[in-house]
Amino acid sequence: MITILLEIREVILKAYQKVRFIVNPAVKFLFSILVFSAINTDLGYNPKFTGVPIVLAMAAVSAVTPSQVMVLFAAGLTLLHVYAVNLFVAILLLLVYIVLYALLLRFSPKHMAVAVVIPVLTKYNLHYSVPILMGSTSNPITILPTICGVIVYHLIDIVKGAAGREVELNLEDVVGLYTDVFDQLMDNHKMIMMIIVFSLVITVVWFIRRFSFDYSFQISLGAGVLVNILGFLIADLKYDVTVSVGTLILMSVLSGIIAMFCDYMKRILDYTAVERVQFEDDDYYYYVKAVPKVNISLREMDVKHFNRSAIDGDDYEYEEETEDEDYEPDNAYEKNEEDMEEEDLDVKEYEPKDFKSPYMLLENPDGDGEQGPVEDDGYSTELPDETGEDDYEEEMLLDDEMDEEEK
Amino acid sequence: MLNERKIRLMTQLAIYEKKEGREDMKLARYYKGDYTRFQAWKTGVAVTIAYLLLVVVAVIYKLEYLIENAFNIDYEALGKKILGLYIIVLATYVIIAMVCYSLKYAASRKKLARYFRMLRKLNHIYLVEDGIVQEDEDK
Repeated sequence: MITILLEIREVILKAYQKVRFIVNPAVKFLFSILVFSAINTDLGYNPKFTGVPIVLAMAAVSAVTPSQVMVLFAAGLTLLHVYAVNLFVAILLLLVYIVLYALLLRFSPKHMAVAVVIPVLTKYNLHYSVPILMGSTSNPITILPTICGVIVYHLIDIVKGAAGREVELNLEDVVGLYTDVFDQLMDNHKMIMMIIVFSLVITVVWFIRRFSFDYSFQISLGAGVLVNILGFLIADLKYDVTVSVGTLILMSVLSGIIAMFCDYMKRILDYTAVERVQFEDDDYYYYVKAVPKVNISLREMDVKHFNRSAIDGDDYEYEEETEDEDYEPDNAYEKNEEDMEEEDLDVKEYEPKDFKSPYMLLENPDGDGEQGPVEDDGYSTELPDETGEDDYEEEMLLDDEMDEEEK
Repeated sequence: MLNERKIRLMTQLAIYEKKEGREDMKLARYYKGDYTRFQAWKTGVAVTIAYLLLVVVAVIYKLEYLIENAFNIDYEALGKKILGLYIIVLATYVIIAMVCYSLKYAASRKKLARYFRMLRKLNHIYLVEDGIVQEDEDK
């Protein structure tokens, strides 16, 4: 049964490798549509921007640009909508956006999208997954964009109420409006508790997952879910923040599962990225397509030869070594850098007497340092049609041996 | 004759240059102190702008009170309070930024060191190819 599942997984991944250039933008496109339509539903005051073509156009641009562009679009769209009904609230919103960017968002440009993801997911009660995911895939600096996301969600909620208010162009009205908005923002216990709980969840998940004991990753996710549930329950008791306990527990657990799935997918997606690079030396131009092996434990580097068929059998060393930041490898694949580098040299170090065939002398895919013929265990063992080089080395050695015997 | 080990090394180098290498090389143009100081400056400017905006917002928020008590307010004490808070916020942000950016710099140096180690290996292969050094001279 497990074998079948693994096979299915490999088939899916192989298919994904081929179409990832389409799938990635498509996912971003769909998510962007979700974001922009959510904004239009909540704040759709300006009919010019609620049209389907505008949403589609913005989503299309967001699909092929970095996620920061989507955040910019989302911020711009909210401002334009609010501006259509209430200039003063729009100015206020702009001020808050600038402050949020300067104090929170600019430190983690890669995770800027979190500021948009949280408000959108909160509608579906799935926002609990964001801090768990941030803790499990990144570092505590992501607390800042997470806080920003929470503030934006509540801000939009407040602005929605304030924007509809009739405001005369006199000081009293404008100041009254601003005071109201800030009172609501400052006295928002729900928001403050959410910020505290989410920050705790990120820290706890990040902290536990860095330990090297068995299942530390799964335990960290569980701890994250637990902190989340307890945190919101305490908030419920202390500040009477209305949280439905059943929904909270269910959604927290679901969020943990989603975070686990996302993390798993992220790992796979990161490690199935096909790299195309080109370079040259004095004699050749090289156009190399480096294909990580779908089996994420082992990667191969395909070297395309113009006069020979492909040679396989090398671990994708570069990818392996970028692990130490984000990716804790399974124990079976733990190797230190020195081992890897030694292995890299191994091809040249073989004693010719070990040669069973020049084609069988690829590294042991288990990476345990032993060399020997590659067994047929699912790894690619496509071999060169013709090398000649190794035969030549063997002959040379035989000559040397004969010389020694003569002496 | 194609040298597979060389191609592997060159591929790894090229992938690094294409992805993380770009950022790392950008950082490598600075000394560590210069880089963290520069980032701290940028953070300081951002925090200052944000703080000024917050002060403006706070003034609007308390405008009624300020107008009513315009003659009774101890402006010196208020100014000191605002300035003191500003210094605390600024110092917190700048210190955290310096720590974070110096960690980032250190991480990028580590990756860059690996890159240069691979470059040296590649260089060695070239020397061997050209017959300048023997195959296993470096071991």
